[in-house]
Amino acid sequence: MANTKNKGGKVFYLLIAAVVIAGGFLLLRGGGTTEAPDLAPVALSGDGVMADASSGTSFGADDAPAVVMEFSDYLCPHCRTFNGMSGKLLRQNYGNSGSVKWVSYDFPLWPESWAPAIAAQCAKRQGKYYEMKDLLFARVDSWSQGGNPNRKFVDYARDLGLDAGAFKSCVDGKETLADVQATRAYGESLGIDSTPTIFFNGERFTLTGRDYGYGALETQIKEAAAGGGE
Amino acid sequence: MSEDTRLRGIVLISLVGLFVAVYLLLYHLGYYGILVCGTGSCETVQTSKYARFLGQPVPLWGTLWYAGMLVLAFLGLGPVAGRRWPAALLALGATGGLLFSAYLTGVELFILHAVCMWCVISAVLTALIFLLARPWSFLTRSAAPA
Repeated sequence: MANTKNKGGKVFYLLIAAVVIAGGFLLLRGGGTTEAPDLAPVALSGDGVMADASSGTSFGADDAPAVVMEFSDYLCPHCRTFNGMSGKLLRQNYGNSGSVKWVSYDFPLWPESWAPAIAAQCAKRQGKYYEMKDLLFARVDSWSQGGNPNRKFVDYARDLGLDAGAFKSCVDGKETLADVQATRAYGESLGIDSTPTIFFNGERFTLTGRDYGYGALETQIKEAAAGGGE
Repeated sequence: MSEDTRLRGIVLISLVGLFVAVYLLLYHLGYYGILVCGTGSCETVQTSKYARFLGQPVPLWGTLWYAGMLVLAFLGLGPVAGRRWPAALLALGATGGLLFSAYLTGVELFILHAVCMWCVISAVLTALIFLLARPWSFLTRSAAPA
């Protein structure tokens, strides 16, 4: 009887060891999700200006040695974190330095992602795309709770000092739908199916690390400014 | 099935669940690979607003729950073997876990219309823990004279 119990105990601890080894393997291997899909490089014209930047929203010097293209979705938490941790800071720190041209493309992944993208494009009409973009990411927990979010978007427009009447008619009438369709179509033409997708000087830049690529992007921007980049 | 066998089963299943929950938590926090949202089923589930509960990522709650069940089952096997409170807490925890798991599965099926394999695995593990914790027999036993 005691022998049987001892045997059962041994099996139990062997099974625990097996689970720990298998679990450790899972955690160390990371589920095999470390590879980004290959995307063809984006064609850039000789002077560093985007070959097809018309559908995106950009700021920074047109002749900047570093061109960052960003495709994002307003309901994507990784886009929110990237915008808060890397995008916003890089724009602040390097946007006026002449070393970066930053081009943003709204790339709605889900049906509910179109309304905020339309709102951002409506804010762009009044010159405050990036201000609205930051606000939409910061307040996503509020406007994504269901129902029509346009009322909240109009409040945000007021907060930003926009012409609320013009903004309201823009979002309610979906006047910028074609603009979002254009940015989405441009992303699709590049093979994009996830966000945030970043291109640095035309090459896919894979976001990794706890700083959401800030350090790596900053290094590349500095290298490009020093003449070491493409 | 003896009480020891059931508790050992809960230990093993909780350990498996703990690894799954920690994996999902690390994935959620961006420790693994590329940081992207996509339209795949797992990504839809894990990047939806339902991926957080009471302000914290659902995998964090899962990690705490599996760790709690693991500790309780171990206590029931060793230091406090024969005492009723570990079994009572296991029954209570297993019931809560099953209800929460049912809620999450309902969200996946009826709201998100997306099913994540890891979530299904966790739901199955939770159901197995519930069956091994046997809260119904605990209730019957508590109603009977000691």
